[in-house]
Amino acid sequence: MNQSEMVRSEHEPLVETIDVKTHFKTARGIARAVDGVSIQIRRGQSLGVVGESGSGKTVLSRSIMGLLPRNGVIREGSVRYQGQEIGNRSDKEMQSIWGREMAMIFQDPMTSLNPVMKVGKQIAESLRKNLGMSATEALAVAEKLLHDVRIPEPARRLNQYPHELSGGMRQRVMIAIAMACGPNMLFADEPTTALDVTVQAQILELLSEQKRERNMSLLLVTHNLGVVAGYTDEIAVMYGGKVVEKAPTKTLFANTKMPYTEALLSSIPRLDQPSHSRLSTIPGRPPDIVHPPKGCRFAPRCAYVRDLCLNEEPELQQADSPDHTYRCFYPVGSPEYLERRVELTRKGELVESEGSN
Amino acid sequence: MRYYVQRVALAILLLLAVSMLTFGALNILGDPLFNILGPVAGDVNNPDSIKMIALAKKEFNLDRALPVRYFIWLSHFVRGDFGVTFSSTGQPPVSGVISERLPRTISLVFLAQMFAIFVSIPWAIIAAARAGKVSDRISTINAFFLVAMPNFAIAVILKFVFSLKLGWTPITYVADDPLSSRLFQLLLPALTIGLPVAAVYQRLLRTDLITTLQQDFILLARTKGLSKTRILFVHALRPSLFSFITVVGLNTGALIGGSIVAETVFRIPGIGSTLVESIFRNDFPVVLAIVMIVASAFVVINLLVDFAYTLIDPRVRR
Amino acid sequence: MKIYGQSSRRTRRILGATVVGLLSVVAVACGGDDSSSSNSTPAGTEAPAPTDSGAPATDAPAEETPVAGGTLRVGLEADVDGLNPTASALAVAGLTMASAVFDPLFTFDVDGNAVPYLAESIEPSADFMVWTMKLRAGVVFHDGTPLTTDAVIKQFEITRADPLVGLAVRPYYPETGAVVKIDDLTMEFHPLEASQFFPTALTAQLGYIASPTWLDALAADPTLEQKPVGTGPFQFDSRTEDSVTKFVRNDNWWGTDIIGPTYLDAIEFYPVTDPDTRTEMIQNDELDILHTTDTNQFQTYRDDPTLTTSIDDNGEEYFLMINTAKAPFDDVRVRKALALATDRQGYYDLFNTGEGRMADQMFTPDSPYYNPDVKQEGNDPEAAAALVAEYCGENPVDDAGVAQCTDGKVNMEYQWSGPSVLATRIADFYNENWKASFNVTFDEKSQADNIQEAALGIYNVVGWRQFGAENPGDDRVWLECRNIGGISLNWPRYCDDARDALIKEIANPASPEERVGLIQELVQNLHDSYAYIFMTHSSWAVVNTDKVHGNCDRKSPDGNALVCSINGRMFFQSTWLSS
Repeated sequence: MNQSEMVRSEHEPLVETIDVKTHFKTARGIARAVDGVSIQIRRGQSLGVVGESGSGKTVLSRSIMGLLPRNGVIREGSVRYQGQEIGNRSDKEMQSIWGREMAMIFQDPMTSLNPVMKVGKQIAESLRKNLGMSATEALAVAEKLLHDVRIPEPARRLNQYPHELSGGMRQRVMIAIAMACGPNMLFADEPTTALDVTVQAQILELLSEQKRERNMSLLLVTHNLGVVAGYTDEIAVMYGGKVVEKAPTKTLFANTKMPYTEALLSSIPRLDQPSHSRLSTIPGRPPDIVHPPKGCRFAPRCAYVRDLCLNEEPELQQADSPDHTYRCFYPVGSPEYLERRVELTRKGELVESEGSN
Repeated sequence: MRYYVQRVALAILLLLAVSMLTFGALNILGDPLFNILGPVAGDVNNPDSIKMIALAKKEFNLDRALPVRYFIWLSHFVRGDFGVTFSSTGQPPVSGVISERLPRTISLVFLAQMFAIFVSIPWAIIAAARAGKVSDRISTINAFFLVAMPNFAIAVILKFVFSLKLGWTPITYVADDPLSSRLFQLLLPALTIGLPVAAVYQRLLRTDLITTLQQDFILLARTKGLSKTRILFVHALRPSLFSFITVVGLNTGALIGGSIVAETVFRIPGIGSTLVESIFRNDFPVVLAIVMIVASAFVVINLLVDFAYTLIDPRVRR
Repeated sequence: MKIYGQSSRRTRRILGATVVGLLSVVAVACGGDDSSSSNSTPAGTEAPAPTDSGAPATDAPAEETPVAGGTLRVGLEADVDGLNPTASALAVAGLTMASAVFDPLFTFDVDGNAVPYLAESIEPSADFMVWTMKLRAGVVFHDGTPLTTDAVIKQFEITRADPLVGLAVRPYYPETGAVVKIDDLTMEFHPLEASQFFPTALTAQLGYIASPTWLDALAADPTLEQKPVGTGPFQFDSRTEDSVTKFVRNDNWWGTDIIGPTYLDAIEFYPVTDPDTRTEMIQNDELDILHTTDTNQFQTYRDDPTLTTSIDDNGEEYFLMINTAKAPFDDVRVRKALALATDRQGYYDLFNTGEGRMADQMFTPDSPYYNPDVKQEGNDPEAAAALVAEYCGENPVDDAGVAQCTDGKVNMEYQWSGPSVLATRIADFYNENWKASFNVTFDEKSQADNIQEAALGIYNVVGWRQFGAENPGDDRVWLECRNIGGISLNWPRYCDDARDALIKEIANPASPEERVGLIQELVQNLHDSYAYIFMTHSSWAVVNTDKVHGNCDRKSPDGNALVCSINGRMFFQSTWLSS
């Protein structure tokens, strides 16, 4: 592992994207799924990427990992891993990174595990390919991994098929697969969305614990700010293919700048609500990424919108601290924000968001 | 287990129905006596002919009612006694004709099926991996071309190219040649019936593979760093085989149909050519036996296909 | 590609199909009469134009020395169900195989005379009613059984008892005492009628003598008929039906010292029903020699410098055969009208594509028996219409009272054996010819049904192929009144006592010249019956590669030169292969 032999500063990012754009050619035109995103993740750090569906968060994580198809996709910008450009690598070149350096956990463990292959083999094949283990060695390690992810009777599970396991157990198997070869960077794409509410916390706890033990970096993609709150160091909020606010987790919660972030915070599902009634409180639909609105992309849905927002796109601005940035002309707490807020409160249209303040 | 018992029972019922229909049709379509004795059957004023008619009626139970004849035939058939060919001497026994010729047809159909399977799988995988690209489109055109070509046209082209122009293969099959020569002689006949079938398999498997390749578990397999070949062959192929093996089973019928042409063109004395010949000669016992053997093979193979589902997908095991 | 219906061309042991075999059986089994005893043949008289233009001429016979060895691969047009001379339907392909493994009592020399072969000699009584035949001494069958009078008599009786093969034997011999043993090698034949040409009856199926031991075993195990045991220059080795039959040289052949050596180590017979495939095989060096009637191939063979082709059209004729026993064709005017309505020239141009010859009668102009005055009518639709108008004007009905004409046209049925694309096209062609005067119903039958209905007289008009016996007198079975019955070999069921008298005279003429005249008279009689509308002379081609030599070097034990082939039937005793 040449890259890891290089001595690197703790503060140098493990993964870095610079103005990454991922555009899809569609029948309607170019869909700007990710439209100029720059983020950094340091070793051992965890970044939450939050947004509604269609915000580009999943495409961003797949762009970094290089999993998107070649046909019909326009890629621009730079993706660096341990300082090396990997954005332009072919699938074949990426094979040495996948599994060993980077791994991913998907949303639905039912469809993401091969239904016709035994669990043990699905873990072992990665070990055999990446670490050159023999079949028996790999199975032994797989058993240990299942144990690590708290699956009871791991030896028996090795010979079971995915459909014989519960949803939570399948997700644990997927975590075991992802962690099998000790990757430095783990992507988790909505890892709990498909699971029972009661299991969600267990899985997140497991992820965070494994991340700590193995000193991995984690990119956690979710639509649910509540999920990331306790498990991430930093949060990037995406909207319409762009990062609209980025800050250390505590800062973000304490000092929200974007009205969109504020709206997300107000829509954190509570335990007594079904898990899929998300974002029901933000009126309107996510922006059309083929023909995005002029100006701020959130403007059409923003309660605090003004003429400027509809005509000009806000640049990334720095908030009180250098690691907190956002894209808004009239951020939370600004005079224009407060003025509009008073009006809205008077009209009784702002009942729900009160709790979040 | 109950599932299998039901399947087997259904198969037996099916075979009974086929045998009843075939038996009935053959006996209604022509006068069996006429087919056994030829003109003698109509020569009713000649004492010698009358004697022969009486004998034949006894031998073939012709004076019994049709259902009775059917049950006599069935009871013999299930014991492996297929009766005798329609002829004055009652020779040769049908089982003799079948046992001599069936192995040739089986080897032909087996070779063709193996060829079709082992060509279509890699072909479909390559096409699916390059779906939509120029090479995939060319392969699609080729496949449609093969599917549209009648067997005998393929036979003529193969014969012309490989035997007459290139001189690589013999034109005809010689039943007394050593096994290795005979296998070589079966090459063109097997290609004749295997090529269009391979194309059908390829079309089907390619489509299923493309669907499978869009599944999440393929993405997961990629994130493990597995090679493209391993993903295609190990992860994508098996879950895509359902329609494929179903059609492989159903196509056994098509292959036997194709073997009639191939056997005729390449002079293979198998049951396909015998079937046609026996139909022309109204030799019902032979026709009946062959129809039953083909139907049984068809049913058994499709039963095996049902069992194969459970091998391919553990979720079917119940 | 002619894959349609070809399998039905195979002659099977099915009795129905056996009748097809009778074409050849009969040519052999019924004698004419008279002395073709080896020395008493009236010189050169009855020699038909040599029917043996067949068979490859060896290119430079003088220079080449025969070499022994090699396996000859022969392409035949069909397989047989068995090689049992007493019961199997042996057509051309069957007779070709049989000729290698069996020896005939008599065989034809190049002048068309039956000369002794397995028989040593034959002597007629003065009235030609008793023929005393002596067998060659010291001949043994492949199984070691010696050839004796008993063997010949046994075979004769078994053949006569066979329901269909016997049809052509029974009418011509008394029920008892037909063949009488004199001693172990001598016997007397007692035919019912005098014929100077009696030995021709013993040149093929009836004359191919099989081992009596084998015939006994056959009775118990009919499958043995696949493994013939004779006295011939080759003996059975192996056989797979519809694929290949192999004979190997009989090193103990009785004829080696008298006639000459047999050169080939072995012969392999390949039944190849599709003529195109036969052509491809000889071009691809999978065959050395073949026979065919497919005129479409002839030019291909002639164009190939490595192939030698000989064509023989002195055999069978193709004609439309009419059932004269059944209305409306029981009226000669209707038969004549059908002939006149037929476009014979058009048929020839369309379906013979310049190969072979049109036929006016059963002989070609090359034959001494050809009657130049007999021309087959045709191509005259107006005359046909006039006859039909006359007939229909009488409002004819059949025995059951069914009207024979509708709208001034005669109602008729044309049937053929199929399914065959070619035969269907021919039927369409005839319909075009006939529809002005006839309402034609078309009926495609399986070959077996077609023959059955012809034998039982259940037909109006059918396409047929027949005649062309080596000895013209032998065609009598198709013509005599006595062969009309439940099963008729006289398919048209046309009985004419004058014709029968003529046939009797032909068998026993006062002089060769008279015989020629009588046969020409018979030709006229056949024409006037309008039971046959002659269309074409069938052509047989025998084709061999330049490795095959010596087919025509055959000799009889008495040194007579023998024909190399008879209407596609081939002989290989003298054949050799150059390397």
